[in-house]
Amino acid sequence: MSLHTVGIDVGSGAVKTVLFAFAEGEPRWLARRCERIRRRDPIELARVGYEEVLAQAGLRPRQVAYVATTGEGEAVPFATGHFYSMTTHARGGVFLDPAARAVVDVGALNGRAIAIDERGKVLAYKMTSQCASGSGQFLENIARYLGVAVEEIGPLSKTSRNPEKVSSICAVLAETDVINMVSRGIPTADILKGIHLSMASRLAKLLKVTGVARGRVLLTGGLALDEGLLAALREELLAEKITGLEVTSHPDSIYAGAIGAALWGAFRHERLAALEARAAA
Amino acid sequence: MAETVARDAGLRYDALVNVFDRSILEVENRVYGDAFRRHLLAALERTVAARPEWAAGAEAVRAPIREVLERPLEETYVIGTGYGRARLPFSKEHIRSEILCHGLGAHVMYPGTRTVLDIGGQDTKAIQVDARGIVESFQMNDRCAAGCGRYLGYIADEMNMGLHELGPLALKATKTIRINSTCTVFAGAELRDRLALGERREDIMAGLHRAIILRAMSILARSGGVRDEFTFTGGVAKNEAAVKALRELVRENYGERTLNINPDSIYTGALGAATFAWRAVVEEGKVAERREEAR
Repeated sequence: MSLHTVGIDVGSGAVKTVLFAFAEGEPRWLARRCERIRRRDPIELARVGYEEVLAQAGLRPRQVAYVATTGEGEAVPFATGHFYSMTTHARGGVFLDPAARAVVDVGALNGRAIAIDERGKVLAYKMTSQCASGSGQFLENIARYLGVAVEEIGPLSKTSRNPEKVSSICAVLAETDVINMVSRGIPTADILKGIHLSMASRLAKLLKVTGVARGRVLLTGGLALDEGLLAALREELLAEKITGLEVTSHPDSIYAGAIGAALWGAFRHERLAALEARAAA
Repeated sequence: MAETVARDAGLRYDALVNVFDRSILEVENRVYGDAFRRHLLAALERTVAARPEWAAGAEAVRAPIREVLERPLEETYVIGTGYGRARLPFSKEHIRSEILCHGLGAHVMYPGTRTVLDIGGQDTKAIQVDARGIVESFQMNDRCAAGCGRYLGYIADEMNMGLHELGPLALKATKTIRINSTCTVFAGAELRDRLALGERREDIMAGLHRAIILRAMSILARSGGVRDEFTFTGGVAKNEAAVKALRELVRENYGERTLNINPDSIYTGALGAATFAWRAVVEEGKVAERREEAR
């Protein structure tokens, strides 16, 4: 009989849920669900995601050995346990890309860089705090002011030839800054690229602090699929003369935290089972 | 007007209106025109009506007033200020920074002013002025919406309320919830969390107003503290909950201070600019007089 675990990553922008099966300790990813929060109750969305992944795999709740939450999911009532998001992102990062030696997570409100070893152990980390400048929410606001759909941000930014230089700007006052740029006649692509470069410079600083010097860097979180940000981060590292790092993304990057939670959930479940077995013996 | 423009351009009305700073709208819509002219004559007529025995002399008063009112106003000096000052078609000597104008404007409104706090839509300024209204030092927020009017605007959007409703709501608070975030966006998230935890909206609002004033207090402290008298200007000065929080925090940190708030504080900068223009004309006159005397 195989073991099943569910990982739920409650972020500030979306709730990500995954279901894993383990046969002989080998993880197999069976189902997934990602739901934007958009002013709805995250806990309720976690329940919806949980029911959805079970339905996809044709399982019943009692067949799940461990429901692991991460992010802001501590309050999910049906969870077996909660994991700190630094460790889940690290573990999920290694699952998605075994060669990753650092994970850069860009979410709706925070950015963070985590240096990891080949087993997904956290070696060092650094995250933004106090200010939403350069976060996903920030980029989304700007796209809204510019009338650009979120999916178009990346492709548009990549067409820029003359990026508009912006220093880090306030996520709220960006509205006026962007209006000023538009009224100065700067093309949308150049504004977006400028913003991407400013975000990338913050992320590059975080990476620098963690001390990762070589190997692969996996971009995770809601913004991992923004190819404009990916390109900007590569350029920024080059400009900073950090040549040992190779930045990549993964199509399932947004699930990194949830995957990590499911994997750690299985790990903890087996540990507990072993302890119980020993106690019984 | 925006509605017509929006319809012609095939745009959504609110998308177009969003382009303007929301706090400007009310001011733009208010028409002052020649109210002064009407008021002055109306006052005279009322006086005459109240005291019929003065009717005989009324014409003697009315005539010179009419004459003065009908004299076309001549523009002798102009000073431009504010964010848009660089775009004004004035030469450099006709432009003054908004900090200078604000300090002087507050001095004209309240001559005893030594410290000015201005919380506008996008920035918070703390200005120390001397006995003549000239700026001694100042501090302002740097590229951050925390602690300025836009912070409350963001919260109002977040709560789906009008900006003017926030103050009255906060005044109904029975306690003040502590808001830990500095960043406006994070404070918005914290607001949602607090609401989800079942805290009352009034109490959270009181906390948010306290948070914005706390930011202002740190800017004030950096500029040199709060001296007597203390003048509060800008759109946020119209918010009673913000004023209440400011009063409390100033008393806690600096002791009793006279707090001046002018209902027309939105014109502080313009008044300062006009005063600079007036001083320039007077100075010019004095220079000319001295030249005459020397001759």
